[in-house]
Amino acid sequence: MKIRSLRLEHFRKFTDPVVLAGLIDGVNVLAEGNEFGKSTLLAAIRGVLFERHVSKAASVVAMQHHTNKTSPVISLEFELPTGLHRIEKRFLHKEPYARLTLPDGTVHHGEAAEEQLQRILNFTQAGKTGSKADNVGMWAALWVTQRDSVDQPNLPDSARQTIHGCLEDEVGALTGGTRGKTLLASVRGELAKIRNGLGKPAGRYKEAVEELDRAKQSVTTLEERERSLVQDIGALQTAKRKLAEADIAGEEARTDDLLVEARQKRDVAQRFEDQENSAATTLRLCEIRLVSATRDAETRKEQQSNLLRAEERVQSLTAEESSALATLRQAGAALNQQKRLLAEATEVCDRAGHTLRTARTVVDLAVTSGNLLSLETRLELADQSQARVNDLTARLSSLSLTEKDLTNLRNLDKNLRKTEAILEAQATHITFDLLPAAADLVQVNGGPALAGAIPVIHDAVITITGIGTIRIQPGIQDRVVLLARQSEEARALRNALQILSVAGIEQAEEQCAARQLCERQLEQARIEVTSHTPADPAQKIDAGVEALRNQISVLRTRLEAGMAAAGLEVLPELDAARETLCAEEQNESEASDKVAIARAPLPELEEQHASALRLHAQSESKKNSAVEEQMRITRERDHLIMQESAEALAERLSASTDALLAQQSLIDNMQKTRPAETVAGMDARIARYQQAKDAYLADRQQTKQEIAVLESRIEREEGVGIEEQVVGAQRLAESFELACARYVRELKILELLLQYLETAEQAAKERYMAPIVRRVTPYLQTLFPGAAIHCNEEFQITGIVRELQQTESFTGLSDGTQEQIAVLTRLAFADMLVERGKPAMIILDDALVYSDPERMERMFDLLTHAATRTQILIFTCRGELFTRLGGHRLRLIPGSAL
Amino acid sequence: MRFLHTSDWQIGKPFGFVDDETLAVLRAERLEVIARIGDFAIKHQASAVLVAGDIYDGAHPGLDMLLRPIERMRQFPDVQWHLIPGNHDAHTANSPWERLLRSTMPPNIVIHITPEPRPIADGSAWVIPAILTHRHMSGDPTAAFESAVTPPGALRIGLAHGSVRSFGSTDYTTNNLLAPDRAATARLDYLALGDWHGASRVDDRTWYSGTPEPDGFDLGGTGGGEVLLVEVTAATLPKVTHIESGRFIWRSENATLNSLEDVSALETRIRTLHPDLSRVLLQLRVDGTLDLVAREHFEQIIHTGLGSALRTLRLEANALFLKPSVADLEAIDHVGFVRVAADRLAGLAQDAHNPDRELAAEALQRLYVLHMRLAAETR
Repeated sequence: MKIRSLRLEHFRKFTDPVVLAGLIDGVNVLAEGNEFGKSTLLAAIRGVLFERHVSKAASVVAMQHHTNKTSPVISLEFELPTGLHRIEKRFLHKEPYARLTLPDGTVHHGEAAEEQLQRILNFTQAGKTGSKADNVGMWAALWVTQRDSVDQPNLPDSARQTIHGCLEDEVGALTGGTRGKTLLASVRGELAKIRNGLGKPAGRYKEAVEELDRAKQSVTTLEERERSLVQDIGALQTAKRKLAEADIAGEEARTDDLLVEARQKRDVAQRFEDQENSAATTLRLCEIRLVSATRDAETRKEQQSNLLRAEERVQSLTAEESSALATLRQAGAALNQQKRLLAEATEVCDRAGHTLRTARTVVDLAVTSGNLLSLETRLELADQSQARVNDLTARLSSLSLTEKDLTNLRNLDKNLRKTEAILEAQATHITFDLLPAAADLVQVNGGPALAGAIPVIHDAVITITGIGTIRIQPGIQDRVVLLARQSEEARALRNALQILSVAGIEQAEEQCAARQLCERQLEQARIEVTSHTPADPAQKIDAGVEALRNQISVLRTRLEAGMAAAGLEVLPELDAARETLCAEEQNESEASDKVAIARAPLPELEEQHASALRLHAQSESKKNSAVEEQMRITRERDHLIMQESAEALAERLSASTDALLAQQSLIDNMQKTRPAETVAGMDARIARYQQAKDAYLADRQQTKQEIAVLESRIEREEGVGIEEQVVGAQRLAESFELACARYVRELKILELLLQYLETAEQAAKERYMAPIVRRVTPYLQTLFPGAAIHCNEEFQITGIVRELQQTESFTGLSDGTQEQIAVLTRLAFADMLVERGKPAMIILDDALVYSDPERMERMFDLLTHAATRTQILIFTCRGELFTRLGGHRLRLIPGSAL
Repeated sequence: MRFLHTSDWQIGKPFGFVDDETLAVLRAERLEVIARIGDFAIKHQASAVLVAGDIYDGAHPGLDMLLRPIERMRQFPDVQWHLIPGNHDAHTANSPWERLLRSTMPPNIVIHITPEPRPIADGSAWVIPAILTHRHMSGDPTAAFESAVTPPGALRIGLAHGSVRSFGSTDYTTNNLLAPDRAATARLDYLALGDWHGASRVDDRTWYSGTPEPDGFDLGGTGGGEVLLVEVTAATLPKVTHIESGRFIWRSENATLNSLEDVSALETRIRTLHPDLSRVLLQLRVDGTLDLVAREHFEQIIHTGLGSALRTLRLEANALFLKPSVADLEAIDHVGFVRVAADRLAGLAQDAHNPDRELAAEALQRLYVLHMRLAAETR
C-alpha cells in the first residue's frame, strides 16, 4: 500500500482545509517543528481508515477542534496493486458519510464503504469505543506513534494471525501447537504435583518421603526394642542359670559354718576379757577406797583449824556492829524533828490555797453575771426588732402586686390606647349643626345628635324622624382587624386587672408603691435584728436570736451551778470580790514561803540517816556471816564425827592398804591364762564372714529382682507383640519405600517426556520463526555485523547474539539499540507482508530519537533500502538531521490552493 | 486310631507384598481354618489333631496373637490337640510355649516341650514328639525316637518338624534335617511331619500335611490348603485321606502377549480361574511386545480390571516390551513437535542397547495416555 495524499478539514487544529500530497513510493519525509501537527496527520490517517463515520467514540470526538465543534472531514488516497483508492469520511455531523472510490470508479457509501475498506486493508470493524489495536491488526505494528518507537511491536491477536498466515504460507502450519502446549502443560502439571521448583519432592511424593522417614524411625525404634527384648531374654537365662549355680555350689551353707566357729571363739575371748576387766575394776576400787580414807583424815585436821579462825572473827565484827547502831539512832532523831516542822507549815499553806481558789471562783461568777445582764439586754432589743420583721412580712404578703405586674399592666394599657388612637385617627367624624327644633328629630345610633364633631369608628345610623335613616360605615383601613385587636387588648387588660384584684392602673400603681415601702421597712428591721444578734466568736455565740437566747440560758445555768458550788446565795459586787481575791493571794504566798523554809534542810538530814543506815546494815551483815560460818564448820565437824569416829577412820585406812596389795597379785596371776584370739579380732572375722554372706544374699536378691524385672519387661514387650510391631513397621516402611520408588520412577518418566517434548517444541519454534529471523537478520547485521536474534512466539525479539556468541537480553540493551531493533522488526514485518501480497507501509512519527550520528547514518541506509519495497512515511521535527536521509520532502499546503 | 495331621499354621504371617486389607483377611483366615479343622475332626470322628510345628510365625507373638489359636482350639473340647514347636516358634528361652504353659491351658490341648512320649486320647496310641529348642538345630531332632519307650501294644506316632532332605543351597534347608527312614528305624506306625507347606508323601508311614491355608504361590507338593485324615492300625499301613481346608487360592500364571487379542485372551483365561476371583491371589508373569493401544488395553483390562477383581494381583511385566506402531504415533499426531517427540521416544524404547529403554517406553506410554485424555476432553 502506498499513501498518495491526505486532505483534512475541521480536524483538531486544522479548521481550514489542508492537504498533504505528492507522496512517492520510497521514503517520504515531513520535517516540521514542534506543534506543527505531524502527529495530528497520523491521527487523521488512522481516523479515516479505522474509525467508523457514524462513531461518536471518544477517539472520534477528539478529532474535533477544541473550540469549534465542527465536523471533521478527511479524505485519503492510497494505492494498491489494483490501483488508486480514495476514502473520504465526515464525522460527527448530522449527516456523516463515508465514501470509498475504487480504481474502477465504483463508489461505495456508508457501511458498504466501511466494510469494503476493512476487507481491502485487512482490519476489522471498530467497536463503540472506537478503534483499538486489536481491530487495527498489523497496522498497529507498522505505524509507530510518538514515544512508542522504543517498544517492540505489541501485536494484537489479529496482527499475530496475519503473521501466522504469512509464516504458514512459507513454512507450513505449526501442527500440534495448541494440543502440544496443553500436553506440555499437563506434563508440567503432573511434574509439579510431585516436584517443586527447586527439584525437591512435593505433594504426595514429599508426603511419602516424610512418611518413609517416620516409618524408618519407627522401625529403628521398634528394632531396638526387639533387640532389647532378645537381650533381656538372654539376660534372663543368664540370671536364672546364675541363681541355680549358686544354689548348687552351697556357698551360703559354707559361710554359715565359718560364722558359727568364729562366734564360738569370740565367746571364749569375750569371757576372758570380762574376767580381766572385772579384776581391773576391783583393783581400781581398792585404790579409790585407800585414797578416800587418806583424804578423810586430812579433811578432819583442816576443819579444826578453820573453826578456831571463825570464832575470832565473830568477836571482832560484833563490836563494830554496836558502834554503827548508835550513829544510826542519832541521825534518825534529827530527821524526824525536821519532818514535823514541814508538816505544820504545809497544813497552813493548804488552807490558804483553798481560801484563794474560793475567792477566784467568786470573781469568775461576778464576771459571768455581768455578761449575762448585757446579753439579756441585747436579746430584748432583738426580740422587738424581730416582732417588727414579722409584722412587715405579713403585710408584704398581702401586697402581691409587683413592679413586673405593674409594668405588664402598663404595657397592656399602652397597647390598647395605641390601637384606639389608630382607630380614632382614621375615624369618620360627623358634625351636627342642627337647629334647635330639629335636635330631637335627629338621632345617632338611637341617641341624641350632639353638637360638634363625633368620631365614628363602628357603623353608625343617623335617624331623622320623618325623613329616614342615614347609615354611616367608617372608611378605616383594616377596621375589622383593628377592632378585633382593640377588643382583644381590652379583654387582656381586664383579665390582668381582675387577676391582680385592682380596679385600674392607678390603684395598681398605689399598691405597687405600698409594696415597695413595705419591702424597704422589712429590710431595715432585718438589719436591726442582725445588728442586735451578731456572732461572737470570743463567747462562742453564732449570729441570730436563737443562738443568743441559747447562750444566755447556758450562762444562766452555769452561774447558778457555780453559786451553788461556792455556797453563795447572793453574789458580791465584782470590785469587792476582786479585793478579797488580792488579800487571799497575799496570805497564800506567805504560807508557801514558810513551807519552803521548812523543807530546805530535809535532804541533808535524810542523806545522813541513810548513810548511817547503810553502815549499820553492812556491819550487821558481816557479823551474821561470820557467825553463820562458825556454826557451819561446827556442824560439819560434828556430822563427820557422828558418821565415823576418829578410831574407825584410822582402821579403814589400814584395811584399804591391805586390799589393794592383794588384788594386784590376783591380776598378775590371770595374765598367764590369756587365749590366742581377741574379741576385736574375732569380731572383725565375724563381720567379714557376715559381709560375705550379706553380699551373697544381696547378690541373690538382686538377681531375683533382675529376673523379676526382666520377666516383667519381657512379658510386657511380648504382650504388645513387639515382633509383630517390627514386622508391621517394616512392612509400612517397605510400602513407603515402594511408593517413593514409584514416585522416583514417575519423576524420571515425566522428566524424560518433558525433555523430549520441550526439545521438539524448541526445534519447531525455531523452524517456524525462521522467516522472521531471516528478514530481520540482514537489517540487524547492517547495524551489528555478525549478530543474530532470538524470537519468541509473540514475534518479539527476546535476545541478540553479538560478540562471543553470548545472548544479550533485549531489555538489557540501551534505549537507542532497543529503538533501532524495534524499527528493524517493523521493516521486516512489512517486507514479509509485502512479499505475501498483503498491504503494508511504514509510518514513523518522531522515531529514532535515541540514535547516535553513526547509527543514525546506518538506519538511514536501512530505511532507504527498505523503501525500495515498502513505502515509508516519516514525520520528524529534526529536519536538518533527516536531510541526510534524502527521500521526498513533503509540505502541508492549504486545501484551497489545490 | 483316627486323627488329623496338620502343620505350619504360621499364625501372624506378615505377607509383605499384599495390601493392608488383604493382609488382614489372610491373617484372619489362618485363624478361621483352625475352626474348620476342628469341624473336620468331629465330622470324621478323629479323636485328635496333631500339629507338626510352626503354629506361630514368630518366636515372640503378642499376647492376643498368642492366645487366639488356643481359644479356637478350646472351642472343640472333644478333640485333643497335640502341638510341638517348629523352627518358626522353637522352644527357646521364653518361647510361646513357655509363655502358654505359665498360664492355664485348656485340658484338650497338649503342648509338647520335652521329648517324653504322651498318650493320644484313649491311650491306644502315643505321640513321640521331636522338640526344636533352637530355630536351626544341626542334629536330627527325631534321632531320639528310636529309644523312645511307649507302652507295649500302643501305636507309636512320631510328630516332628524339619526337612527330610537337603535342597543343598541355603543354611535354612540344611538345618533340622530328618532321616527319611525314621519311621522304620524308630518303629513308628506313622510319622507326622511339618515344615513343607504343600502336602507330600515321603513313604507309606511318613507324610507332610502342608499348611491348611495356602500362604504362597509355589508351595510344592499338592500346593497346600489341606489337612490329612490318618487312620492307623497295628496291622495295616496308615490310610491317609486329603481334606481340602483352604479358602484362598494362590495361582501362578504365565502369558506371552503380542497383540490386543492376546490381552483379551489372557483376561478370559484368568476370569475363568475361579467363580469367585476375590478368593484368588494371582502371580502373573507376562512377556512379549505390545503396541501403545494394546499396552493401554493391558493396563486397563489386566492391571486395573483384574487387579480389582482378584484378591491380589502380583504382576511381573519386566519382559513385556513396548513397540509403538505407526498407527499409535499417528494417533498422537501426524506432524508437529509432539509427534517428533513421540517418534524419538519410540526409537529410544526400541533400542535394546539403551539403558533408558524401559523409561522411554513408559514415557511414550504416558504421552499416549495424556494425549488421548486431552483428545477426549476436547471432544
